[in-house]
Amino acid sequence: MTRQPVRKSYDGIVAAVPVSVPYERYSIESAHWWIARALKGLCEGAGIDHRDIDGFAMASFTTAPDSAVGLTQHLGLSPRWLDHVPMGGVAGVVSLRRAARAVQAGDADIVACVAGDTNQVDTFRKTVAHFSRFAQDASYPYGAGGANASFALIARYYMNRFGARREDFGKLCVAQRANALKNPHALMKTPLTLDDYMRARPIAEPLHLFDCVMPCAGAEAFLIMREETASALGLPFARILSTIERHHAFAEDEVQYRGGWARDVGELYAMAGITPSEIDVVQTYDDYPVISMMQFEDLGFCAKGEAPDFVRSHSFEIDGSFPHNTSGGQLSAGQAGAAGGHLGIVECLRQVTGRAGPTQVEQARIGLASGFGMINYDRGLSSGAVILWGETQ
Amino acid sequence: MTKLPGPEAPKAPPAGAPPLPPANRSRTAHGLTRAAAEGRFALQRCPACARFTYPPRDACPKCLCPALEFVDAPEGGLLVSSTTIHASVDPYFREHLPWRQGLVTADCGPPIIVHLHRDCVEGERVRLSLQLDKAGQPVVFARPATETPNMQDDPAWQEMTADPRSRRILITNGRHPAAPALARALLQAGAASVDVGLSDPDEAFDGGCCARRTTSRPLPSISPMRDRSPHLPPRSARRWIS
Repeated sequence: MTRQPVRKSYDGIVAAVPVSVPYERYSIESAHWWIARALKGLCEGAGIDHRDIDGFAMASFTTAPDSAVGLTQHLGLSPRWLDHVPMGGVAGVVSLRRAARAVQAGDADIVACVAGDTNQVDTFRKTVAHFSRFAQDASYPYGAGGANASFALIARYYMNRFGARREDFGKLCVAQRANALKNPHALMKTPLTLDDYMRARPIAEPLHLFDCVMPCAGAEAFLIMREETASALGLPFARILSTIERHHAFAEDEVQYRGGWARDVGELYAMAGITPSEIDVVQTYDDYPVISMMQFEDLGFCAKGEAPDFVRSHSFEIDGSFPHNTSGGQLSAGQAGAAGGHLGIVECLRQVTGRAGPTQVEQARIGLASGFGMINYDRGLSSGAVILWGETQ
Repeated sequence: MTKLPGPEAPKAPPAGAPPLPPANRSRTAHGLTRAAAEGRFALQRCPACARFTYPPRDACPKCLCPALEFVDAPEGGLLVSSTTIHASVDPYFREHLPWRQGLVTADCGPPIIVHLHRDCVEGERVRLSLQLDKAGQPVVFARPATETPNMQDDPAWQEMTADPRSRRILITNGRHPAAPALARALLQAGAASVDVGLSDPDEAFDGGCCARRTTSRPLPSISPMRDRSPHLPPRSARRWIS
């Protein structure tokens, strides 16, 4: 099998209309309701009717028994291009990639990429208990610690192998909380100190309370369209410079210490025609801080094993030397199920179009957002990343 | 607000019964159940490429052979990471926290998430076994490769074994010819106490003869045992304290 040496660019395809439906810790509403609100936000933001949306890419853990098909009737959509992306934290990147190609090929004109989940009282346990067949057979019955236990194993190994300390994880969490305090929609409203972080109760050692995201209800969404469509609608937009996606990379690693990004990072920057140092703002997938550190390495900001030093030598606040997860990320804004994978893209889109308001990084024009997901058994299987470029407004 | 039809909730245990560990398994995973019941450590191996795989699956990830077989596997492995769980979403484990979980690279290849004996240390070798947990489901347990002091007392290990040591034991049918010998053997194996159920308490019962021989104390006190369940045959019972 031969591969094209160079992938076709996304020239002329843009992302626009970042929408976040403010999160709630628990909700009696359904995922359908949250997704509807996100769609409404997209339409209001774009000044279009929802029947003008002819492509729909949906991600959620809690629409059962409905898939994206059921949502079209439920919400009065009649798309000619439809995708259900049940890929958790990488669903945002995957949706964007597929939508961009669909628009580029003329299969759709305006694609709504929406992720939304509800969080009812027992939703989280059900999601964990039925997450995958391997999880049901071979990880859930071993303490039912969910993702916390799986990532504890990964974090412990990373600490042992690369010398990361809890203080390094804590520094990222503290910075994200500081960022979240500027985001009026973040669930976490109180400051966090490194002392608070270190003294928090253990959840699955070495992970403690503030290493873990708070499951909640919410939705995130954006539109993919041609640049001329965005201009005609008068919408600020960001160009898609490049994307990558990978599933089940590095199966031979005894414990996960790198994600699929490490395999595709060369292509990510080659396609974008830039180097990591040209990125102004970074949104990693922060289900746990150790995974953000892995992404600093695998996405080329430092070498493998150097993220602990990288963290010690940078500041990660909005006005820091390495502005990171500027909305507060999932750790401080909340994890609204599958919307966690869209959160970074939506914030990145706001940043590079200069519309992030109180969380705006000065002069941010090129942003990177990454996704990660699906602890099928012992490791996260799916990784992805996108580089967006907003023109000077 | 209508309730969202979601995945089926596990069947609730009868009222008052202690919660059981998660019992859902795929059909294929029950290949482990058989091995566990026979006291063997078995994993799937591909008949075509001889590669061991885990978790249980329906085709070989190396050669896609769809006829994987459960065969006895080497019991050794290396503990590559571990955690102690302090928060669980499952009622059974909530009653047994903290709970240790490990990630073992089995000598035969695959990564195995295990229940972890408290004496196991990261970077050291472990011995793997298949146990039946309280729900009757197969689970992999990792113990230190070499004997440690009071190894049998590990609380997680005790949850998955039937070692009589320090346990309270009920023999439901005290009239069975084997009951006295069984009670004696259990006491000799270190049982804290043995309760013997009698369906006809008015008739004479000479079971004490067995208890007397296993204890250096005077004849143990005999007291009626509370009948806790309508499903248990005894209307009353007598107890021998060793």
